[in-house]
Amino acid sequence: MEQTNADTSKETRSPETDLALIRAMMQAGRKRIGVDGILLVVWGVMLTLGFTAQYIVIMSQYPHMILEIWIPVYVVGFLLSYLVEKRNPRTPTENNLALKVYAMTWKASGISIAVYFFLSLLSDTFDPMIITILTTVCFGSSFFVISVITGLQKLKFVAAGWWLLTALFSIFNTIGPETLLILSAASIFLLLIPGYFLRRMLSVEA
Amino acid sequence: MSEYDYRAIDDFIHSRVRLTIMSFLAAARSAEFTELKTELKVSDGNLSTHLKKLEDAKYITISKQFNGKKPLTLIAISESGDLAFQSYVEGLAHMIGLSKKD
Repeated sequence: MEQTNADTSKETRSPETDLALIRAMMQAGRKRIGVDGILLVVWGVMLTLGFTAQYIVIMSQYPHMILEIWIPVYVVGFLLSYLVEKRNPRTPTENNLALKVYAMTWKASGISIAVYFFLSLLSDTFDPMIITILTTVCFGSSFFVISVITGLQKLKFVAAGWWLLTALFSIFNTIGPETLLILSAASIFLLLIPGYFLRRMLSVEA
Repeated sequence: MSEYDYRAIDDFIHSRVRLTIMSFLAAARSAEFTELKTELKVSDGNLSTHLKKLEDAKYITISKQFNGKKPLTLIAISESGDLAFQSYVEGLAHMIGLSKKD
């Protein structure tokens, strides 16, 4: 960030210099929080593709493929996440509780889902109901945490959306091919689109 | 230059330090006191004074939290602060003919 001393009230001010100051500080703010939505867009796209591909495979004559679909989804997702982080390095997390919580929440969610998915498949104990509930609970909790740390109250509705899915899947207690379509739609409406709006909102030039 | 009513300028935000605080928070949404102090390069007392004014205007909320045993002062922009900041930026843009409304 460029050096900006805020305590220079005696220097000449104009709308132009004020807008330049606003722009610089907003850039610093965006770097600080790191919640720019791009990773939500990346994972929204990847999960939508994954769920849709799995639905198509299940409904078609193709042999059931799970790992063949989800390993590329995870690998490409993590690779893109790595590239995004590398292109837009955040400010150090030292003394930045919000950023620590944000990063920890999504990492915990992603790792929990990935660990259950791969371990249960390898040990032949995979239960689609468990991973569905785990996914919706984790995503709902992550959005709730983002909402609290960023003060963006609207993200609580996104969290509520994921938790509503948790409740519905738990109540009806059935998992079928249509569940994949519901999760695919949820990835669009409750992950990709919020990520897009978050990015657009925080990318607005002053 | 477009016409703009200077009386519409929000005095609570117009101070350079407070404008800097609001700009940072508008993007970051929340920040710790020490972090703001580092970003703004102002003294504790100066920052506290300006934060108090913004809090009185209900543009920000200030809460005390703990990270382990370490006390933290967390400052977050409020919804009214968000609206006031957007309106302020729009006003500035209007002054130099950049407003979307023009």
